[in-house]
Amino acid sequence: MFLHFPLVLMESNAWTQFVRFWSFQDRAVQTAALGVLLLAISSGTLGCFIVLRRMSLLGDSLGHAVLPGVCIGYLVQLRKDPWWIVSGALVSAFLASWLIGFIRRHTRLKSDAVMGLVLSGFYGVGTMLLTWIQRIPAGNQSGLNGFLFGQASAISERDLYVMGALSLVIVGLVMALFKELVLASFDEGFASTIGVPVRTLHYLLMGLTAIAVVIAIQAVGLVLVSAMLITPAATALLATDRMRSVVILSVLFGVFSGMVGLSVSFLNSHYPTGPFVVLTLALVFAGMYLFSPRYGVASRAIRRRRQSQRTQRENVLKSIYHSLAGCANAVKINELATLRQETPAEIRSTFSMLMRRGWAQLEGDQARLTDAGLRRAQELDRNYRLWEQFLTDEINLPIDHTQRDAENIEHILGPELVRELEARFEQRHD
Amino acid sequence: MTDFTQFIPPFRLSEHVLELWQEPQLYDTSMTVLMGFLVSAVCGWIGCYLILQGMALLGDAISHTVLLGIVIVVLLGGSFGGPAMFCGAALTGLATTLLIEALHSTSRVKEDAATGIVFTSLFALGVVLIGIFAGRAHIDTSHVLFGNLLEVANGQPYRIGRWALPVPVAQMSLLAVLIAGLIGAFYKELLVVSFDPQLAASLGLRPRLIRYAMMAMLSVAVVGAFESVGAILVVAMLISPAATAYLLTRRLSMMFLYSTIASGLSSLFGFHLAYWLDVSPAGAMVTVSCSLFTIAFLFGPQQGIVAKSVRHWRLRLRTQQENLLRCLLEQGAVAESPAAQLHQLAVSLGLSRWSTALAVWRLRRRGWLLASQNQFQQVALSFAGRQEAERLERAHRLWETYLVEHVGLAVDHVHPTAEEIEHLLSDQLVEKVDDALGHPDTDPLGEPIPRSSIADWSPGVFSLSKLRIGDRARIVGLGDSPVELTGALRDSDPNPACEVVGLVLTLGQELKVTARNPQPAIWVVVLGDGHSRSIPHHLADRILVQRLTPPATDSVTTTSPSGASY
Amino acid sequence: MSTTAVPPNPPPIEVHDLTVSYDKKPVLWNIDVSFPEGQIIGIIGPNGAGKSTLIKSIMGLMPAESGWVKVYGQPLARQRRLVGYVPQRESVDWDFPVTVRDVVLMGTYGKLGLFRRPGKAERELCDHCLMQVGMAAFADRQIANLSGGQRQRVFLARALAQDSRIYLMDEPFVGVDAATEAAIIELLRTLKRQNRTLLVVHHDLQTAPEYFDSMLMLNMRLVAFGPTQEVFTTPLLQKTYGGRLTILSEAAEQVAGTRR
Repeated sequence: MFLHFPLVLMESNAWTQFVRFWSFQDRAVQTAALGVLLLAISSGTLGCFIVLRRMSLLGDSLGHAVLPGVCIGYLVQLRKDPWWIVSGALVSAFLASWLIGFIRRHTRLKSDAVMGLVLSGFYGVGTMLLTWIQRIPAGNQSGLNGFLFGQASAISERDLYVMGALSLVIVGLVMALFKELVLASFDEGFASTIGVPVRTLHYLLMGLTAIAVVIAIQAVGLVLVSAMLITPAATALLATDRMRSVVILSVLFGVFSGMVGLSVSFLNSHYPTGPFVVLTLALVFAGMYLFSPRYGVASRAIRRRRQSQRTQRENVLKSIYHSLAGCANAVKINELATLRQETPAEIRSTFSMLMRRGWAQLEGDQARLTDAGLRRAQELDRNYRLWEQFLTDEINLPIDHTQRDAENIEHILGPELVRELEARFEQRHD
Repeated sequence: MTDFTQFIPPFRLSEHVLELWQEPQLYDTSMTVLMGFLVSAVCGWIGCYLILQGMALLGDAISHTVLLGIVIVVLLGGSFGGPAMFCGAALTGLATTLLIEALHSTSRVKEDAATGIVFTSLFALGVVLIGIFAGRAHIDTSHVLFGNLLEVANGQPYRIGRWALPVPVAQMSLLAVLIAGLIGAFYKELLVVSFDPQLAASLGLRPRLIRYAMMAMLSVAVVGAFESVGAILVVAMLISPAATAYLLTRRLSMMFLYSTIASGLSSLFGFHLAYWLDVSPAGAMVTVSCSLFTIAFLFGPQQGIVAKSVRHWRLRLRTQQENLLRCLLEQGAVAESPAAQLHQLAVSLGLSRWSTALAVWRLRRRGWLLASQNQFQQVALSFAGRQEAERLERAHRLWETYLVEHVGLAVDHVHPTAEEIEHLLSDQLVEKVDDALGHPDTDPLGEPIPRSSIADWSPGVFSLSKLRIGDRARIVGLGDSPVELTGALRDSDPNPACEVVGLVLTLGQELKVTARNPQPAIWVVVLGDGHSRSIPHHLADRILVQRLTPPATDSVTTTSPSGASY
Repeated sequence: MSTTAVPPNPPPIEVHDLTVSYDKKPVLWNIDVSFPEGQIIGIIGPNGAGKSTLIKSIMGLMPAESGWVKVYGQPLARQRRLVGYVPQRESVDWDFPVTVRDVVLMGTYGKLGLFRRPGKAERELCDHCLMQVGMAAFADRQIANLSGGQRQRVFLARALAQDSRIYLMDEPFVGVDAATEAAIIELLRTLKRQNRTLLVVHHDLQTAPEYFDSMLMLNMRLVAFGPTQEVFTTPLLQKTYGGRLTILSEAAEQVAGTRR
């Protein structure tokens, strides 16, 4: 019962294969790449809505649920005729999505259990059919196994037409109904009160998901197809805040991972495409999870660290400024330390940051501000006072609370808001 | 189009079923079926908790990711099914859970998407490793997809005395005992955790810890099942028997029983199905298992679709019949009076000919309706039918009165609701309404409310509060009334026994109700000796009387059954 | 019951014998009320009294079991544009990748209809609405970075963009700061001066008499409806908040049990 993969490319040196893939000269490579492109576009577009509507399991369920349809589509002609296979898969996916809704309405079972049940039921029947097909004459050469983990090299040109037509349906409908889909996904209740047919849209999305799954199974396989829907969209959601950019990025991530995964799987004819594509997607996701400029875990940590350094720095600057305002033009590090209730070592390390910026100078143990440092300190001091006043006036906080809040928050105020505050208070104090 | 039915072998009972259970095939058959049963049962038990806690998705995820653990252990030189593999799998399961949690708690990725991403990625990694190290790992992708249940019996047997069990079966049995033991030992903790995690936390249990333990257990079970059913079909074993059981019962202990039975049946039938069609036994098992679910879904005694539609249909029939009865009562079509024209009735109730005919047929069968000779053209209520109609009329009018007086609806707005609700209220609730309203004689529109026909607590004995103006009765009891009728509402009153004594009533005294005050409800009675008493509601409930006269003043009702008895 | 001809000036919202069930269990019984035009009307009642349910079933978000709702004498389906809706803040995912302006633009979708994209006119309208609620500076912010009060203001701006005659608001004052609360009530009064009708679910009895011209007191059934000074009385409040009607709840359970 070993999986059978057609040998499209002869085994050869990995580098030659790699070059051969990325030059896109080979007809087989072109077809496969085009197939992956179509699938990345369709699942990337649709996946955004699936992730935002928290229907992730649906993609997985429908993915597994197409197996019996694929098998029956094969049995009709006893060969891999794209139209029959696609029709079989679609019927089976639609049936599964209807069943999910039907069982959900009529039992107390939670929706995840229902989806798991439909998924495994269809997959079980599909497994039976698949093993049965392998027993019948000619069935062993069916190549149906390629649908499980994907075999992009098995995409034929006829397949491409079918995939292209279906992708067009998905992209066209999503673009035409973009505004309504966004609204219905964001706020279903509100959408229905202004007359958006939310139920129809929901079923439409389920139907389109079924189509997206069918497009994807030849290249990434039905077992892992849900990753094509979920991962690029989730990655894009970590990267940006605009719905349009989310869709575009999701497609881009899908295309990139698809191509990389495909090129790796071309290195060896035994390699299925799906796992490599999914693994690439996972790496892209991990990268974005850590280093997304706005929402990355690592970038946020770095930002937080910088912020706290800055707070520390400016607090010391301010302390120096206040000490100077009182008496001499220099202050001792030790005095600063008592003032700020920190150890002299801590002050020294912060102070070295001030010096690097050219805000302060150290003469012996005497700290002194430069002209630039003085200007900066004055600015900070003014911001601080503005903020303090703003808080007391607007929110009626007791003054001691204001003190503490202002100390931390003045560093966060941008120049824009400061100007706004200034204008407001000047107006008021006139 | 090809005729692929030609590839389906004919089913022969002896070849595909009976011979398998005889020597020499008996051993292989029984071991395979046993293995299938064990795998499915163990997964099913854990599945019960997954379903109750809404963690089916996590179960799905872990059953996939365990593959990675298995592949890594095999690549590191661990043996298949050895202790290293079970540990590796448990760790992978835990890692999956933690990874998913970390992902959705530290970023804006929602839980479902996090689960999807983690499990597809780890599973893909597992498959890729298999692909790259195909030579070294003794697993291939078909294993992952379908498992191989039939090879179970071929392995080296493990002997315990006379018994010989193939190693995987022995292992799985051990696992089953272990997991059953754990579930048994922590039954009540697991119950609390799945029912209400917050309660569990407040009781000092550690819901998270228990959850992790369960996931580790699940991973171990998946490893046990991996060889025979593959990584993907395990999901079916986790969910399907448990979901079937969930439809059949609402008790956790019974869920275990039903899911075990479902596992046994699916293993047995699945094996024979697979043998007959020569297909993957795991796939066949899952197919049978899901068919069992379908059967439970359709024909379950409580929640099955068929049972539910039958119940709804019956309710509709009952509503139609009851409307017909009341309509007849209102038209005065009772035993001796002229009978009503059936088709006119049907028109006024908005019923089709067929529904009317069906309703009449059913009512006649119960003896509630008398039909004229010329086949159902004219109908009238029988004595029993009239009692039933009065009961309904009473429920209807009392509910109307309640809606007006307590819910605060306008008099002309109550009818549509009362029409519907009256069919659904229990007699007990109707009596409660009666009591709360102070046992009124008429509804807000001035229509008389029929008397209650249910005897109060012994035949012919009522509480005084049920008497109406003009009724004559003899006192047969003083003290507490039946708790289920009034007790609950009267608890706050001052000691009623003393107050009853204050009224100076004696057993056997005759009395006649001469007047009634509706709000607050007070009965004015004249005793045999000519004195009168005003009896408030809560005391009237506690004075038991036997009626002496048939009620003459009632316009709609004639005799209630208890009144007729003497 | 007498059938009356449609009056020449139909009320903004007329609710007739509305019974609403949740999972087959009646939660609102025979609500029969018609709201006058140009008022701020509070809907008050204890938790679980069906306040939100009433709003939702008026908006057609929950199907009525019996009875009907008319908006200016017509069924809601034909009058959707006259009714604006402000849902509870928790009802949406605030991580959604849209900006404040996008959300407010959604208010214009009803008028735009299918397939048409919002244009310059809609954008200007939406900026104007944002200014009215004091959120103009935040137009390009992603909605996740807003405080509770700011989120409520965004929802209000979206409702303003709908430019409706009637507004239904589900607990707009929950979890907002004092400044926002004052701003919202000021906005409601402005709308009222434009002769619009506002239905507001509210649960703070302290502020209720100050905010509302009329009040509807609800506890599974309509307890009272009328001008605030007439209905905001101790006996009616006790009737509203004095626990459930046990028989009504029991009947609801039985009805649900028999129907399931």
